Amino acid sequence: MKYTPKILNDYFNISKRSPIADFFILVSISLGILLAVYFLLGFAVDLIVPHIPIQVEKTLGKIFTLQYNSNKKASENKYISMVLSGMVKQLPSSHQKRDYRIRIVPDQEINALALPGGNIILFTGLLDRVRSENELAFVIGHELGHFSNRDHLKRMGRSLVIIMVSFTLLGQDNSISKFLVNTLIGAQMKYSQKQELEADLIAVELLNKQYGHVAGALDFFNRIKSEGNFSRILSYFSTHPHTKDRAEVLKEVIEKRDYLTKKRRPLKRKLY
Amino acid sequence: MILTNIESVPGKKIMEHFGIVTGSTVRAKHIGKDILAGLKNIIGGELKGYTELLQDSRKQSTERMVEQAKQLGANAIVNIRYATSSVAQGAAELYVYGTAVRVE
Amino acid sequence: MPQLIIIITLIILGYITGSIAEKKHFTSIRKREAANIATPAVSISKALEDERNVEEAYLAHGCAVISMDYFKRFLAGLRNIFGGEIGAYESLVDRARREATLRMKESAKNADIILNIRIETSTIGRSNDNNRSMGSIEAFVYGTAITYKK
Repeated sequence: MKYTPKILNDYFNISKRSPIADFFILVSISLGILLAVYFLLGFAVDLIVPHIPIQVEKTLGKIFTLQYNSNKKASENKYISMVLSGMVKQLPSSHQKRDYRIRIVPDQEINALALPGGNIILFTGLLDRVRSENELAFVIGHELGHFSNRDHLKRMGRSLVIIMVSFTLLGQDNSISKFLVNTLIGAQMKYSQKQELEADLIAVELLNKQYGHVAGALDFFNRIKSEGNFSRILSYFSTHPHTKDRAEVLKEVIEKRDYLTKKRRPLKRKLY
Repeated sequence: MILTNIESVPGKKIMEHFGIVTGSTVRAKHIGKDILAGLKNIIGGELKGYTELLQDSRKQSTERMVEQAKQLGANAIVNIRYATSSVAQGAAELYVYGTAVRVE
Repeated sequence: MPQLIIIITLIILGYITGSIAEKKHFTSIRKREAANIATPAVSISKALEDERNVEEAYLAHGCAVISMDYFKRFLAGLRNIFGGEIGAYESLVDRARREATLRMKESAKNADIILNIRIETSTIGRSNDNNRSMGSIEAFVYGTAITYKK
């Protein structure tokens, strides 16, 4: 049998589609689908959340705070609890039903969390920057504001939606779900800014009721601005974006409502 | 194009050969079919979606092989072997190879 | 956010290095295929010009393991969601097989023809703990090399 050598000019075993174009088309389609699902389900969450009874929230909170209860590093502080109960008394009676509790977690992060059931987590990084009782009360009031607006449930619902969507669709490849989830979290930021502002407004109101003036409300914002240490306050910005805008809005509200500014009460004891 | 999986084309004499020709394709079904297949795995039975997928890929890889043989000037491919491998989850790779020949 | 930056960097890096490596490899494959064109490899066993003219027959084999870059892995993962042809894998398996075939031919330098070749493909480097499928692909080609009496 004779052999006739020949070289193929054209190769057929690889499809000729451009991988880069393919990549961009697929990424934009999947992001589009995820965004649509995310917003639709997000709206559903926002509709349902205000109707969840506080009793249910308490049960949820028990599950949610288990990890913080077992965390031996987390501690409570009588002085902070005292400030808290003072602020809670100023809340409308419907929101006093939760068992509000503050736990202090040693962490450099400048942040505070509102968990279902009335649990507030304060990081020591934040407490380090608090200089007066009024300021501390404002931070606590801000978290209480999140509870009143039920932002903690909304946010939980939203992140649950993100996790669920990425898990069902992208369980197969970790890097893709990471990529998409991270992109979506960027979209969530803008939504939280509105929530943060509303929580600030409630905090100012509570502060005024409790102390008769609003000194300390703006201190924290001003300090963060002047500190200028970006790497350390980066985490604060990631969940609480546009600190400057919030401070400005707050200032306007304070002026408009003719809230007084009197002498700040110093911190009476160590915070942790 | 004559395709066989034996050494020759019965009744015809092979005049010359051109070496090996190959065809391959990797394909995946969309996620919905994957989920359905997962459900079907519970109750058993034929996975129509995957049968279809493999059938399509087999057809395409054969076409790719035939295309090569045509370019070489062959009119038959003998001793064809098919192979399936799973290069990734949910994706099927169909590979086919044979010897391109010219019969009288 | 930092995670996102890492992923995007890996994708870009994977795309650039991956396509350079692939281009280089295909150029080398084409060159060597042209150089080895005189040694045919066939899947049949009766392709000899003259049965009595054989001096030596021995088993020749070649194998190659090719890994895919981050960009392609990402793209293939996306394709897995929407379905359709996965071009990224196609070039991968193609490279592995042609490389393995070339290595077989190169290992049998004095052969005049390689008969009855078989091609096997397997996936290696797949980790079971997380579902990250596909690390690299192995192609193994073997056949009987024949040298004619001179």
